[in-house]
Amino acid sequence: MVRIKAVLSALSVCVALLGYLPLQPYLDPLARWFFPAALAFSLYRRGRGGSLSGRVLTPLSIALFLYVASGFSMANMILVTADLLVLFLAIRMLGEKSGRNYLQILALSLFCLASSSLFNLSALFLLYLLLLLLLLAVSLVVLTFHAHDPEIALARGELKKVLAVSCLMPVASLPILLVFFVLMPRTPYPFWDFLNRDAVKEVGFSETVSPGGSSSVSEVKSVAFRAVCPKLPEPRLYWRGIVLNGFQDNAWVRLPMPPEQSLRLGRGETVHQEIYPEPSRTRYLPALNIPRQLSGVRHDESADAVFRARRAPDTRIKYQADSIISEVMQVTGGIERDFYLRLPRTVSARVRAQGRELSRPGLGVEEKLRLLERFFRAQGLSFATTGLPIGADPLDDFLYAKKRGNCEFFASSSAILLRLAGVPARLVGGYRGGTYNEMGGYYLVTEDMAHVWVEVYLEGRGWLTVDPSAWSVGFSRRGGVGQTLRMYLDALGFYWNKAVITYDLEKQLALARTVGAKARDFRFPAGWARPLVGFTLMGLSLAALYALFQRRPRTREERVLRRFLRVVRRRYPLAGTDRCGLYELAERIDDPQLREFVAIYGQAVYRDQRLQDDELAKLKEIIRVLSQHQS
Amino acid sequence: MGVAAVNTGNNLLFLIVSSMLAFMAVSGVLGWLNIRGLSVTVHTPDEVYAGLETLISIRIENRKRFLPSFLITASVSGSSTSFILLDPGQPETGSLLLAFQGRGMHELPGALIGSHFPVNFFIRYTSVRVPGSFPVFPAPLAAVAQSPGGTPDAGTARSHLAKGYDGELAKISDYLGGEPLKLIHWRLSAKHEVFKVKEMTATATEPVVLEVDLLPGRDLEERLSHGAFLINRLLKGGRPVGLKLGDRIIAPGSTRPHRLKLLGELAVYGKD
Repeated sequence: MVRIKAVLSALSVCVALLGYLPLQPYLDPLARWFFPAALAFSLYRRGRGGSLSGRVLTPLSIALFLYVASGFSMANMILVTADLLVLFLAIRMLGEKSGRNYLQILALSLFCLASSSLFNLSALFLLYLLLLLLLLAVSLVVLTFHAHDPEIALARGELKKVLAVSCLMPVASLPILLVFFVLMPRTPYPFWDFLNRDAVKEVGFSETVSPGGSSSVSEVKSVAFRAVCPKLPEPRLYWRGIVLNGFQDNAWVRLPMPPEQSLRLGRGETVHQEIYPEPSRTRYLPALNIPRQLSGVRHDESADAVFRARRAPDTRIKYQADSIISEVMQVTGGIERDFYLRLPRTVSARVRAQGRELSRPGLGVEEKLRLLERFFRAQGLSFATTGLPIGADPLDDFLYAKKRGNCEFFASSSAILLRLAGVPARLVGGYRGGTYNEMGGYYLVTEDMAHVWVEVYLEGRGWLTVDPSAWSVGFSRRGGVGQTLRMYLDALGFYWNKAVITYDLEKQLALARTVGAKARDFRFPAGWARPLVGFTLMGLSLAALYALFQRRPRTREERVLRRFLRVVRRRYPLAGTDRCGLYELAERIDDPQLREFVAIYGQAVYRDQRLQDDELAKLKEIIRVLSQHQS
Repeated sequence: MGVAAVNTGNNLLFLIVSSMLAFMAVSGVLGWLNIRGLSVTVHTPDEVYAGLETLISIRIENRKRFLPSFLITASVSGSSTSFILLDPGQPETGSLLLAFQGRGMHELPGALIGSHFPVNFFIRYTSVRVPGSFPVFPAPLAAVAQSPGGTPDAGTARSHLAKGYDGELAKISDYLGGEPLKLIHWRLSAKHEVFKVKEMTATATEPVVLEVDLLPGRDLEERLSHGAFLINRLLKGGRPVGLKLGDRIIAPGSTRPHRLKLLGELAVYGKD
């Protein structure tokens, strides 16, 4: 025999853990450590057959509430709420457990899981939800037995049956869950916006470039975005985000650009991408270089092919982009050269001298570029993310002393050298590379792929893409990221985002429209399939008709008997109409109407006679009366 | 939580709310299935007296093919019994303590089947017809004065010992004439002026026919109650009892079925 109390107690521990674990990384240390301590303490106390009384717990919970709530502000209300939920759950675990207390544990755990969705949108949530749903169902059923009699004990076989039936519930509710999820009412905009702020970290992609800020760059492997598009050759994977065209002190920034008109109708194939960025604070929308147009999110577009969302995409969004894979962006009407020849506040003498070297008269832009590349290669500059030059003039340090730097050093120094040489140049920030996920058919671009390169203006041709980092020693994208398992997991996360996280009112309406349109525009497929479908449908309807005909009673006697039995079954559900003869039935159910029917029917039919019209009418009348009496 | 989901547009909250709604729907269906397909039969004991609490056994069978029924409470006329688990095709029996008011043929009003299963937020009920009817005998009412003999089981009846021929010697009395000669105590008679006779108790008592209309009592019900008491008392004493109901006479008998027949007659007397 298994005591229901013990089962319920074990279940409540599991459920509470499922509520706590998804929240755990985001909690304050107090809540984070109080819960496991309380759980361990309650298990220890239970082993000794006791629990803390309300006289201890009520003041404790009030004190904890006051302590945590004192840190409340509009900015961290979600965090405070999560802390409180976990603390209350922990206190509930410590206390005595009546049926009501168990229900509170279940509800608090569910709320904890729900609040975790405000911190993290990963697919792991589904696992937690399914597990919690399963355990909640089982716990609620077991709790019903507990309410019936708290001391009840079930035999192992009985317990197995109870658990099996309670597991049936979450399994059966899964398809209904999907239907509800698709149909539940949604709004395009939230009523109260503050709930949607989630803690998004600053990303590798940056809106300013100032080399020399720190001696190392951390390699953040977090996902920047995923882009569904065909697989492209590696050298073409430049994702354009922002163009930095001027200086603020010594840092590259984006300044309002002079009017110009760029044409992106250059030669090259057009690639359509569907991009799913991770939530971030940057409004720049990356797309393959050179993006021609973008849709799916409200944005502003500038002439240097930079797309900026009107609202920071701090929730999950997606957008479509069309890009022309080309190295040159044409400009009609020329550019304002002076704007693109401005220099930072400090440029070292050595760099100025090198710039003068490049600006010798008689050299074309392409020759200057070649000279620059030769200079870079001659310096033996290596690509690195640690041990970077810092100090008063990091670019000078990079070119002549340390000779190591990341893409910011390469791009920044070459653009300044080009400007010194009288060639308009600007920086382009974005990402380079990407891991193609064959399962999902998309590129996975992580923050460590953030990259800066240079665009050089060629008179008559336009802006030419130049990546000075390629002139370094040992520059290559680190491969080996494509481990199959990682890709599988990422594909799972991607589809989770695609199907669940980004589902919104618009998609809901689109789905309804599609279903409606499909239903309206249903056509038989053409060709050989058409007659096949026709024949199948005809065959099915014939079969259905035949089955109906077979089931239909042949004579009016059979029909009236069938109606009679139906009515009797409804009126006397336990009479067992199918297990006894008519006379026996009449005897068993003491009803004069019934007896009369049986008498008339038996008189005729059991003597191999047909029912007379008046008899039939009488029988029908009896059936009518019987069916009316039902209510 | 639903409001939070709509407000934040957070699909994970939508998932939670959907799962709760789905769970509610499924638990509703399961609760409905749980109390469906149950058939109830009630077995009443042979003797049920009006106004007296009687143990009645109730038998519930789960006629569903696969699904067991859990935590079923069956109540009949306010008295209820519970079944933790009803496996398909395996009937379970419980008992109810019921009292029926008034004699006559009774039918049970139907059993109310209820269950908290699967979730203890609501109780679902369904009523199930309980087939069959049974007689409720008049409540026995002691009728001391009219208890004419036999081997009584209570003190007051001792003075009404029936005289017999083949039992124990009860006492010696004067000869009143009419006693069989074999009962005359010759030895004692020789010592007295009058004949002395042995008074023996009876083993095989004389049959008696109760006439309902002549039984004591203020009204018919009281007379019938006395009748029921007498039938039980006399038959317990081994004395054959018959019954005269108006013009109808039921010949005396002393078996248990006969007793039940008599009580049954009393139960329905005047109810036609």
